Amino acid sequence: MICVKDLHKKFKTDSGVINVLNGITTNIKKGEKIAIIGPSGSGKSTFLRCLNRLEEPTSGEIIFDGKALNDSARSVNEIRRHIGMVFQHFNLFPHLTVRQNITLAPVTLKIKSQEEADDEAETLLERVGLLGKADVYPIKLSGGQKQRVAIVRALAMNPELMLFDEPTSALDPEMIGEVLAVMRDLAQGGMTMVVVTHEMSFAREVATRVLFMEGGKIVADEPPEDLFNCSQNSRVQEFLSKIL
Amino acid sequence: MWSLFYTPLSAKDVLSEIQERGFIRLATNAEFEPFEYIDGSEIAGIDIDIAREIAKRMGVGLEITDVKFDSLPAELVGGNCDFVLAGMNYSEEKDRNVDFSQPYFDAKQVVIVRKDNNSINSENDLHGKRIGVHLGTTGDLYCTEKFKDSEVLRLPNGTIAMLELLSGRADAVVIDNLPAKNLVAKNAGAVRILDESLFEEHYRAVVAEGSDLVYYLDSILSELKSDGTIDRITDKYASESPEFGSGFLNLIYRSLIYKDRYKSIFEGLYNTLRITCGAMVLGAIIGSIIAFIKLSKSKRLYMKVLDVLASIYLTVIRGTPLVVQLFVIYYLIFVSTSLSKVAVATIAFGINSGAYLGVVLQSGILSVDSGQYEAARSLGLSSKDAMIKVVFPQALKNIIATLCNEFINLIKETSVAGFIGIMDLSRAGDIIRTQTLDPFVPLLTVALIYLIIVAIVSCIVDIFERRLRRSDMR
Repeated sequence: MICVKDLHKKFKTDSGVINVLNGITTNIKKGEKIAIIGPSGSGKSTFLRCLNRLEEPTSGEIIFDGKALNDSARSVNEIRRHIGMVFQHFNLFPHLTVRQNITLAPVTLKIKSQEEADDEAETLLERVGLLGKADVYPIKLSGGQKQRVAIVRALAMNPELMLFDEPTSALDPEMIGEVLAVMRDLAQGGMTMVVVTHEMSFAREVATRVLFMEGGKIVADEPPEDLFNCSQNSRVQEFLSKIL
Repeated sequence: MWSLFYTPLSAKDVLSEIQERGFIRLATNAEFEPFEYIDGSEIAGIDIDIAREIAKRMGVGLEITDVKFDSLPAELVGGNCDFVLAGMNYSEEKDRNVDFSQPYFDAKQVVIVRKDNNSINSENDLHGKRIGVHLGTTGDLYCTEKFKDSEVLRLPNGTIAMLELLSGRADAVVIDNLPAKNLVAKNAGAVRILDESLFEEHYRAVVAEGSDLVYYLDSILSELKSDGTIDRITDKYASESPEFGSGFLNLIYRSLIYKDRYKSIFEGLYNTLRITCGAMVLGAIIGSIIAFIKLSKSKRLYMKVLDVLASIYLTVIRGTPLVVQLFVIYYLIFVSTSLSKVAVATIAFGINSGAYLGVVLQSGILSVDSGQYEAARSLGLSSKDAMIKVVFPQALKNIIATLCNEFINLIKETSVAGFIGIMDLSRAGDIIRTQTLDPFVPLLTVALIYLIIVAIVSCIVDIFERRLRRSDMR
């Protein structure tokens, strides 16, 4: 589904150039659930953001369904329709109700009529247990509810791939479960997912593959049972020993 | 009686131009009763009647423009009018820029003092005193030059000078004898004119340098003098001096109702609102473009050029006085245009407002978390849709109070439009004040109207803001 070839990303700052990604090459196949783990600053989020071009790679290639993501705005907009993204800080639109948050993109892009989009929103909200919140503004929701709405908002575009950028990191502990449950549900439904996460149990349980990143590179790329139980990589061992 | 400092355009065949056009254009400053002043909602006065006679004898119509007296020379030189009748005198300095006709009226500069003031009886007594003059007149030039040891108060018109005298802030007023007569008549009992006059002068018509109209005016003016027309007109105005009772109600009657003076206020209000609303819309458009350019992260060369231009625009507009911008736009940029004054003023205020709105919009957009834009883009929305549907509504909520401020400022700043002769609300008040010599009723009326407009605007914005803030209610 997505081929990533030798991806590099440099950030220019006042104190010089920082190399965030140093040559990432990987393939993501349809139906895979990939967890990306690693220490902070290792480039996990930047890599994820390159996948839907929220971040402009410095060099390298990303091919989505056989089409290269190039600079032209139209092609980027077109490909983003098929890639949903969930952010650490939810990024719900505060000036719109939950329902309007969900229907904004499909209606604006003329993929659905307002009625169709409303119906779809209700169906999706029911699935995550938030039908009763359709007409409230995001400020009235708890963090866990916000993130579930954010997931629904992305799903309303019927994406082929979902990107999650630390979806539970900004949540109070008691709310993490409800969000992970929705994601688990999604995974069981066959969605292709790439999840940057610190939830090792989720990675172990749901992921079909775990990428361990450090220093802008993929250091380990293994099924979770191998990576968590018997990884030969000393960096992975060190990281796991710190957090588990 | 005016001083001119402008460079002329090249000579041309004005006469045939007028004939072709079918009317002749007079510029004057209607703050010099009885020569030119606003009577009700019409410009009237000795010079105006003379201009009518001139037009009649030329067999053409007459168009009158009323501008601030500072702007009269620019009107001539810029070709916005054919001639000026505004009680002007010949001087060598002025002759470099414009041409003068033969004199059509002989005037004297006289001194007005309060009746209870016995210390000023001759010109020499003016040394060391506070002298009120009409800014830019020969009286102003004479006193500024001659009485270096005195405090010369250079005021916007003779009426204000009289107010200064009456309130005791000036000891004497130096002004042309005919307006002096009217001013004294309105304050009979309180002031007197000194027997000794300062000097004589001769009013002449003024045209752009090299205009062939001057010879024609000479012959008509001498005709008007010899057949007694000018004397007749002068007598008519000298005798006009209506009597009013005293008291507050009389004051209101005199300021607002007599001679339909309220009509000036309505006309002023209409113009003020027209200019403000038009300028706000234009300013919003320009401001949006500026904000777009300033916020663009594009590295393309033309965007960088636009960015520099936008910065220059912001610096120049925010760094120079509005009245200067209005003058430049009216007299230099829109010098030969069929656009009305109100339209030109709207453009000028819009350009000015655009700079302020641009900066406000820019900061409003920056106040919205970048995650909002990213989330919208991640859903496949174009950058335009993301801005319009997600970022802008949130930015608007953050800046609406500032936008309201800008609108309120603009309403009041439009008073500057009076400088190019637009009857706006403030100028309407000014003109009534010069007619009635009472500053308070017109000023307070105008202030009250501004207050009501601002209150209404604030109220509407408040409702709108509350709607925008609906999503903030927990």
